[in-house]
Amino acid sequence: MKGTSRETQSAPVGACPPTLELTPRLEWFKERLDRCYDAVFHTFTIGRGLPCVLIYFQGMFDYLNAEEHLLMPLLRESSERVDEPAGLFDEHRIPLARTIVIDDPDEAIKQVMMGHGVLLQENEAQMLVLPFVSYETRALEEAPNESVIRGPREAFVESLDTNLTLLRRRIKSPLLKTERLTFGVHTQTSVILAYLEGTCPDRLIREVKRRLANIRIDGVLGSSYLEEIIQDSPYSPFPQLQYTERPDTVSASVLEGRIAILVDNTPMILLAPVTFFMMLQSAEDYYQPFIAASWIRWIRFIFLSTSLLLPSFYIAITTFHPEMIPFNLLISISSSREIVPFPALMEAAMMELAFEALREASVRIPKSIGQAVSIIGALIIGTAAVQAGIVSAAMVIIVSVTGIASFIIPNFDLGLSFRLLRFPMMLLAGMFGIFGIACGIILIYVHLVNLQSFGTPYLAPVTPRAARSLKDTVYRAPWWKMRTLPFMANRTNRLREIANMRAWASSEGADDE
Amino acid sequence: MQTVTQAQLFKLFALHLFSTMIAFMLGIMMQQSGYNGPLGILSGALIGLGMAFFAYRLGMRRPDRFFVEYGKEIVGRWLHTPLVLFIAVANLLIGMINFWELQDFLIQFYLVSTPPWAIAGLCGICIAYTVRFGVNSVFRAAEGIFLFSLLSFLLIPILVSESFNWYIGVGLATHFSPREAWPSAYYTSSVFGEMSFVLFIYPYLMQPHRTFRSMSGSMIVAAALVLLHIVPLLLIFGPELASNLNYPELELLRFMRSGSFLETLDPALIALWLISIFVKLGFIVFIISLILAHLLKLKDTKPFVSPVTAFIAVGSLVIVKSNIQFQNLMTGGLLTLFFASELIPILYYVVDSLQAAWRKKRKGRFN
Repeated sequence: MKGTSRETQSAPVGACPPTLELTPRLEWFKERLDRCYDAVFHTFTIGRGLPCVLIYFQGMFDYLNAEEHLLMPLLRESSERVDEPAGLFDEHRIPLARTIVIDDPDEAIKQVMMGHGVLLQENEAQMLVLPFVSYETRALEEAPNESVIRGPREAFVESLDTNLTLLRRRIKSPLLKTERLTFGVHTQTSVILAYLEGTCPDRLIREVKRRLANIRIDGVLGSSYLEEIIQDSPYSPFPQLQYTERPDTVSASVLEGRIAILVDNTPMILLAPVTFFMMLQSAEDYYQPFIAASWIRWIRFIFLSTSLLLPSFYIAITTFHPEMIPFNLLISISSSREIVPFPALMEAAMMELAFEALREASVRIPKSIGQAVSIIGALIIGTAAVQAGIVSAAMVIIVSVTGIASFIIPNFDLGLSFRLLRFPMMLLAGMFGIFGIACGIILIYVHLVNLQSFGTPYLAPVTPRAARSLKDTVYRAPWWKMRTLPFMANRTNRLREIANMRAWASSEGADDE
Repeated sequence: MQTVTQAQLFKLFALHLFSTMIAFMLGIMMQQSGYNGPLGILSGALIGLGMAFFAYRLGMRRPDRFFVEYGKEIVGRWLHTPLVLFIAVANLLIGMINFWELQDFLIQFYLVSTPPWAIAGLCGICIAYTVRFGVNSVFRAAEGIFLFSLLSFLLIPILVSESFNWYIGVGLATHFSPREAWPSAYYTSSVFGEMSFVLFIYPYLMQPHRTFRSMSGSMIVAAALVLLHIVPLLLIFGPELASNLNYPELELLRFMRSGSFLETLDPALIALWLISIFVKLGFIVFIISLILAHLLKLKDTKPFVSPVTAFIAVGSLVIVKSNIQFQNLMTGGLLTLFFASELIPILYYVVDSLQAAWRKKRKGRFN
C-alpha cells in the first residue's frame, strides 16, 4: 500500500547514527521528539549495568502495565543474576506475548506516536515495541441515530480495536479477513478493510484497494474523508457509500459480500457497494416479522416520493391544474390562499427554507434550549405566519408532511439529497406544472440509472433487473425464502441457506400419523 | 460490449411502440378506419413485425458487428452511405414529429401560454441527458419505468369502463372491411416497423438469437395495449366524434372521474407518459447518433447527442405550424418515407442472401 509507506513528515533532523551505543541513539530520539512535553524517556539498567531506555507518550501508553509485566520482572531477574551479560533480545526473556521487534528508528517513532512504548538497549540495534496502548475511550452505547425496537443495542465507538471486536464477535469465521492500512501523513489513521473471503468478489476488494492507494493527505479525521475520495461520482448529490454505526448492519453487509471500511477514531463504518434500495432498508426490517417489515418498507417508498414531490405537486396543481382538485377542496384551498400575497412557488420556497433552517438550528443548538426553539419555530411562528396571511394553512400542512416524510428515509444522506432536490423540483413545477415535474423526475431518474457504486448500478436490482434480489428490495421475504445472497455477492458463492428449512411443517402431519 | 439484455430490449420496444401510438396517433387512425381501426392495428402490427424479422435475420448473420460498418460489404460503399443517411434522416423526422406532437399536446391543454421553445428546450435537455450516457442509459431507463407505464396505460380502460356505450359494440363486431382497415394498418406498420432499427444495436445485445422473441413480445404487448385504448374510444365516443378530436385519448382521460380524491388524474398520468415518450425519443436520438458516429468512424456517440437533440428540438418548432398541416403531412408522403427507411434492411438481407448463394455456387463449381 503506497499510503502506508509514506514517511512521517518531521523537523529537519538527520538520520539516526549508525551505532549500537545507546546515548547517540537516544539523543536522536530526543531531537525528533523535541518540544513534545508529553514524551517520556525512561532510562534504567538491567543485568551488569546494561543501559536501556523506554520511550513513550504520557497518557497514551499504559506505563503501569509495562512496569508490572516488563520492567519489574526484568529488574528482579537482573538483581538475581547480576553476572549474566545477556540482553533483552538474546533469548525469550520478555514475559509478554504481544511484542514486536523492529530495527528501523523511523518506524520506532511511528510506534511511539501510536501510543506504543519502544524499548532500546545498549549494544543492540533492534528495538522492542510494547503495544500497551491506553487512553480514554467511550463506552459502548446504544446507536443514537439508528435505534431499533427489537434488535441489538450496541453501536460502534471511536476505538478501532473495539469496533473490530464487535465485528468479530458476530462473525466467528476465519474467512472474515481484516486488512490494515494507514492514511494521513500526520494522523497516521488506521483503516481496516473487512470482508468475507469467497463471498466478497475479488474484483470489489481490488477496486477498493486501488482507489485507496491513491490517497495522500495530511490527515484523516473521519470516514467521510475517504468516502469523498473513493466514491464514483463525487458531484452527485446521492450518497454512493453507506455509513452505519450498527455492528449488526455491518456484519449482515459483510455476510452479503460487501466490504466494510473501518476508520480509527470514528464510529461510522463505511460499506461498499451501496444501492439506492439498500438505503431504504433499516436494521429493524430484519428483526420484525416479514409482513410488517415489508409493509413499512412500502411506507418508506411512498414517503420517499412524498418528500421529493409533494410541494412540487401542490405548486403545479394550484398554479396550472386546478381542475384536478375536487370542487370543495378547491374552495377551501383558494379561500386559504386568498389573503396570501405570494405565488404558490414563492410561498412553498419560503416555508421549505424556514423548515430547513429550523431543522439545522435544532441540530446545532444546545439540547437544553432545543425544544424551546422547535416549539417557537414550529408552532408559534407557523401559526402567526398563517394568521398574518404570509402563508396559507394548506402550505403549512404540505411542508409539515414533507418534513416528516424526509425523516422517514433511514439513511440520513439520502434524505438530505431528496431535501436538496426538492427545491429545483419546485422551481420546475412553478414554471411548467406537471410537465416540469415529469422533466425533473426523468433527469433524476436517468442520473440514478447511470450512477454506480464500485461498479454496482445504483438502481439494481430493479434496473438492471436481478429478479432473485428483489425479495429483499421491494419487500422483505421471510428468512426461509432468502435462499441466495444478493446480486453483489460472489457469483460462485451465493447460497445462503438450505432449501426447505420449514420441512418440519410438512412432516409434522406425517409424524402424527 | 454486450450489455443490453433481451428483457431490456423487450421493454424498450414495447414502450417505444405503445407510448406515442396511444397518446398521439389514435385520432388519425379513427379518421382513416373508423370501426376498422382495431383490425388495422392488428394487421399493421403483424406487417411491422414481418419487416423487423428481416432486420433480425440480417443482424444474426454478423451479431458482433455494427450494421453501419459491415453494410458497405453487402451493397457497396456508394450505396450504403446514402441508404444509412436516409435512415438517419427518417429517424430525425420521426423524432421531430413526435416532438411536435408532444409540444402541441402540452400547449393545447396544459401549458397554454408557454412558448413552444421553452417546452422544446426542456424536453431536449431531458432527452440529451438520457442519451449522453450511452446505450445502457436508454435501455435501463426503459426497464425501470416499464411496469409503471404499463400499469398506467392499463388503468385507463378500467377506469372509463363505466362510460362504455355497449350498443356501439355491435358496430365493432359487424364492420369488417380490409379496405377501410388498410390506412390504419399502413400507419401502424410504419410504427411497428421501427423495430427493424434493432439492426443498428446488435453488438450491444446479450443473447442476440432471442431478439426476435423479444420483438414479438413487444409487438403483442403494444398491440394489445393499443387495442385496449382504441376500443374504449370507439365505445365511448363512437368513430365520428373520436375522429374529430386531435387527441382523443386525452379526452378519454378527462372522462375518467376518479372519485372524490382527485377530480381527474390526467395530468398525473400524462406526467408518466411523458417519461415513456422521452425514453422513446432517447432511443431515436441514440440511433441517429450511432449512425453518424460510425459513418465518421468515431467510437463514441456522445459528441453527436446534443447536436442531434438540438436539431430535432429546433426542427420540431418549424416542421409544421398547425394541426391541419400536421394531418396533411401524416396522410401524405411522410409515412411512405418512414416505411421505406424500415424496408432498407430487407434490401440488404436480399442482396446478402443472393451474394451468399452466389458464393456457395461458385465454391461448388471450383470444387
